[in-house]
Amino acid sequence: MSDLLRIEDLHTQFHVHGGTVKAVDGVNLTIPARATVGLVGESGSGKSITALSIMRLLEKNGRITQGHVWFHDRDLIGLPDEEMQDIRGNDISMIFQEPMTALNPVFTVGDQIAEAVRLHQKVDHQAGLNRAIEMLRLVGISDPKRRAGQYPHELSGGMRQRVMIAMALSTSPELLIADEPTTALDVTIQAQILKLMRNLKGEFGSAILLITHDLGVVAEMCDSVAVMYAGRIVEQATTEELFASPKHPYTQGLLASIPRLGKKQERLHVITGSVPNPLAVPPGCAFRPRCPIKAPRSDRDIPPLTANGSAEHLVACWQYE
Amino acid sequence: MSKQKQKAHPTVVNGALLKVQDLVKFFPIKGGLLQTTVANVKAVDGVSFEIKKGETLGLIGESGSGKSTVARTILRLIPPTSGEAWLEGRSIFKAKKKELHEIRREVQIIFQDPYGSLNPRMSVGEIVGEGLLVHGIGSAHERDKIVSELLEVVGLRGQYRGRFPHEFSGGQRQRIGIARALALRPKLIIADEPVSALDVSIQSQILNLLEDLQNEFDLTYLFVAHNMAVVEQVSDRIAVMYLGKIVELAPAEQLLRGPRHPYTKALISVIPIPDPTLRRDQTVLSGEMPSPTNPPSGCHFRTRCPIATDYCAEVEPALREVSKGQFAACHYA
Amino acid sequence: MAQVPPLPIGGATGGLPGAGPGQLSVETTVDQERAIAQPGVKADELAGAPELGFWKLAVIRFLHHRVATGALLILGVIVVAAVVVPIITGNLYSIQDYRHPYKAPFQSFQHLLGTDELGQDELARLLRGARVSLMVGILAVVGYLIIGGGLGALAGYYGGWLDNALMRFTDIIISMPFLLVVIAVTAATGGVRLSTVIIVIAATGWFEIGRLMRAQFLVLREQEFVQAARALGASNTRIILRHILPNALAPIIVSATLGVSGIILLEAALGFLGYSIPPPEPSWGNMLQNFEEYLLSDHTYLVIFPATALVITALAINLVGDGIRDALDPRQR
Ligand SMILES: Nc1ncnc2c1ncn2[C@@H]1O[C@H](COP(=O)(O)OP(=O)(O)OP(=O)(O)O)[C@@H](O)[C@H]1O
Ligand SMILES: Nc1ncnc2c1ncn2[C@@H]1O[C@H](COP(=O)(O)OP(=O)(O)OP(=O)(O)O)[C@@H](O)[C@H]1O
Ligand code: SF4
Ligand SMILES: [Mg+2]
Ligand SMILES: [Mg+2]
Repeated sequence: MSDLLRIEDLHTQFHVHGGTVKAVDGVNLTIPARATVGLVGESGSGKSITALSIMRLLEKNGRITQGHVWFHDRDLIGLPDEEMQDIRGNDISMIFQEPMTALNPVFTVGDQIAEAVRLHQKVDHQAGLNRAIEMLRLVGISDPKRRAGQYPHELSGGMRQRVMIAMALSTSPELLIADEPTTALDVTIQAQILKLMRNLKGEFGSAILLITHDLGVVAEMCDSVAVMYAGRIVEQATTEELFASPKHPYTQGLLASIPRLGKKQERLHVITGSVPNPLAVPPGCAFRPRCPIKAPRSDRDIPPLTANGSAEHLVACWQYE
Repeated sequence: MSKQKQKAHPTVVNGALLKVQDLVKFFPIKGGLLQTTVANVKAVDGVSFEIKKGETLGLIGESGSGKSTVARTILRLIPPTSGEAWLEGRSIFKAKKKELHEIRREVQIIFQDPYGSLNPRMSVGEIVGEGLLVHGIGSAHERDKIVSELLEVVGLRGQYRGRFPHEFSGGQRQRIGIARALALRPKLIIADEPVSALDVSIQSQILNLLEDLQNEFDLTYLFVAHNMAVVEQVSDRIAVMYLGKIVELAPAEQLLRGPRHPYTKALISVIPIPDPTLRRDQTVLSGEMPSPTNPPSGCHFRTRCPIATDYCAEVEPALREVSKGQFAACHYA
Repeated sequence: MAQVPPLPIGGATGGLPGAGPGQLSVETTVDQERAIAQPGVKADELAGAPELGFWKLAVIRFLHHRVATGALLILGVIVVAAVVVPIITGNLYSIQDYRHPYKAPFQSFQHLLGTDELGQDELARLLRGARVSLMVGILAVVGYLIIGGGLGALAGYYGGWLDNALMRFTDIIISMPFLLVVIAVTAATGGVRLSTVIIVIAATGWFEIGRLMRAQFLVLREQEFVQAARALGASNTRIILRHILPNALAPIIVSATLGVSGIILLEAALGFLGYSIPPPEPSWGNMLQNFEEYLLSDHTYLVIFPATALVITALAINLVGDGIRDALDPRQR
């Protein structure tokens, strides 16, 4: 399978009052065409910033300082703004955790989807609107014609997320980046959205980068998973492989510490401590202060992400050196 | 004193620390020029349960199902519309000012939001020691000592007393909130989504801490959450809420192994499980929870229920014992 | 509070069943070390901080704020000069030296800042005028804070009919044309008096602070830390004074300090229209009354001095306000 997107040694930094936050600090990640890749990690580990860096939608105080994002054979990092604009929403779409903030409150959802279509296809408003209604029907909204005429605040959270998905898919993008698309939703609504995303994936053939902190969602949705910690990918493998034999101590700890449905544990495993201060990440391996192994060298050098066992299982830990 | 009052309420089952009976809470929606009540949000619509001493009752349900409202009315942070609640036989809702003050020493609450639940303009020492101060316990010096000890108990340093909330991480703040709740040595702690805002790796720290404290201080918990795996981990029994009502209540294992209410069944079937080898049949419910302002007639769940009949629209199912210790509110359970 | 109940946790008195916190066999110290997720805080800084209350720390923070402290100093000098100097110089400000009208400034020590058209000493008038201006500005804002702050807090905290009534009352106040009120009151009380001016300004201008305060209280009373305090048994007074007010103050202070300079200018405008303190009593307002004439007749200094005094005072007050606001924020270091 050919690679759709290849991130190489990506660094993104923010200048803040107390110094520089290295939000993304050397990320390597590959997304094959039509695959669903999960990106998991603790709050603040840099998942959203990775996504926003791909889209080049960083806030003013953020800058990509190094690295490449190869989309097909074009490096998105060096692309002129107009060309990037053309890729955004057309070839790569994004949906967010809180759809209310991503939708414009003063336009009907139908108009907004139609506009998104017309940004990239030369059709008139009516054709765009027809496409919008068609998309709303596809994402399982009943009575799509009426709903297209409603404003975002008139819809429930689950319905808004469907609208976001409809808008993101309306241009049949090759890559869909979904940043915590179901985190704000209830379990029964999440199930609806996840089912919808699985179905639509078959229909549109888009690859998906699914950002989440819910390992259950990953297990259910993804072909492969990348685990992020303090701005770096510490492990990447196929979903089965990662859950069956995690190699990085953080992944191991993470999998052990989640309560499992129907398997009540006497005592939950605990990863001691908490994530490092983003302004003062320790030298060497950022996980070292919380690591039960603390392999030699980890206090000095950052472990690279290298193949271990199989070519598809990558891990960044000195104990496997 | 409490013994005398216990006699006054023969309804209290032996060993029940908290008993809630037919709790109803409507929030009026005001409208029009004269701000009259035009409708009611039926947040809690007839909820009854008991918690035995030393037990943990998990309360689970979707957003807006009324979990927090139950928690807050029991503490009388908001007045109930009707119903009764007793703490060791003493009526909570009928308590006069002084009795209520007394009851509030015995029931405490832990909140979800590690940021909003601590006063940003108070030091950690003032926050944790506030209960002691309001109840006039100990001298200033003694209180400081207790606060330091409490901080150590929840895994923080006693010296943190002089620091302010913004200097701590989410997990640490949650520990401060727990220390505050422990300060008055309560019998019952109501934990309203205490780990929902925390990262997975911090979540397990807090869950373990809560269990340790329960053993250590003989605590009883009402544990509110929307994550079934978390609730199962800490609870002896679980109550499932839907649209202001408890639809199923059973011992934790029994509920997960053999759910009887269609809602519980569907809920359990769609919870994402971190195991890619597992393939389950999912019952994905269509639609969303209706507005609590205008709940469906008969069974509140019928609009999304896969097995609903016409009868369900007419007659509201009561919460009845469907097998030993397991209660469900469904005609066909 | 007579009897001290056993201490809640381990410690000095009152034995606990089971082990004390010291023996707690838990790995609860996990979160101690590198725990801080907040930028700008180093973990080691957390331990062993001196323990000071919020207000003391606020004063320290204020004093660390150079600009604000400087502004406070300047303000202090102005106030002291305005109070003390006129006492010493007596009625110097109203002595008309007919031989020397329009005496230019910096020409003699006798009239350092020159004289006006009536030969009155400009410096003496400036200092005497400061009295009036500052008194009007400060007292009227105190009025704003008492009326607006008080009513706003009550409305926001208690809500319900009280809120409705107070808000309607506010609407009435807002819709009253200020000048008409001034004219009517002046007419009714038989002449311009300083106290009348202050009372009218306070009575008609408090609504902005009132609304701000109400909005703050409305939001803050629902915050979880307020609920937590209530659950601990804290009284309404304590909740208002210790939990809500400190968190509500920031925008109020900004509004109040802007208010002082605004009112000084308002008094000037009233003076210009002849509805404030009549000559010979000077205020910065009525000293500026003839500014057009001064400018045309090339006696610019008679405009520059009172105007500069006004600007410096207003600026100092606003800077002090900013300083207080920052000092009340524990995130500022
Ligand atoms: N605009 C910004 N200015 C400064 N720092 C920022 C900014 N945006 C993000 N950061 C920092 O970058 C780091 C990574 O943030 P990011 O949003 O990618 O985390 P995340 O993994 O998506 O977390 P979450 O699960 O909470 O969404 C964090 O430390 C965050 O504080
Ligand atoms: N003060 C209030 N005024 C009006 N309606 C309210 C108020 N508080 C809660 N409600 C409504 O009552 C219902 C139940 O709310 P509640 O907060 O108890 O739900 P919950 O189960 O705790 O949900 P969540 O999981 O989102 O915390 C909701 O429809 C909510 O909008
Ligand atoms: S009573 Fe009827 S509608 Fe309600 S859960 Fe049972 S079958 Fe479904
Ligand atoms: Mg994010
Ligand atoms: Mg809630």
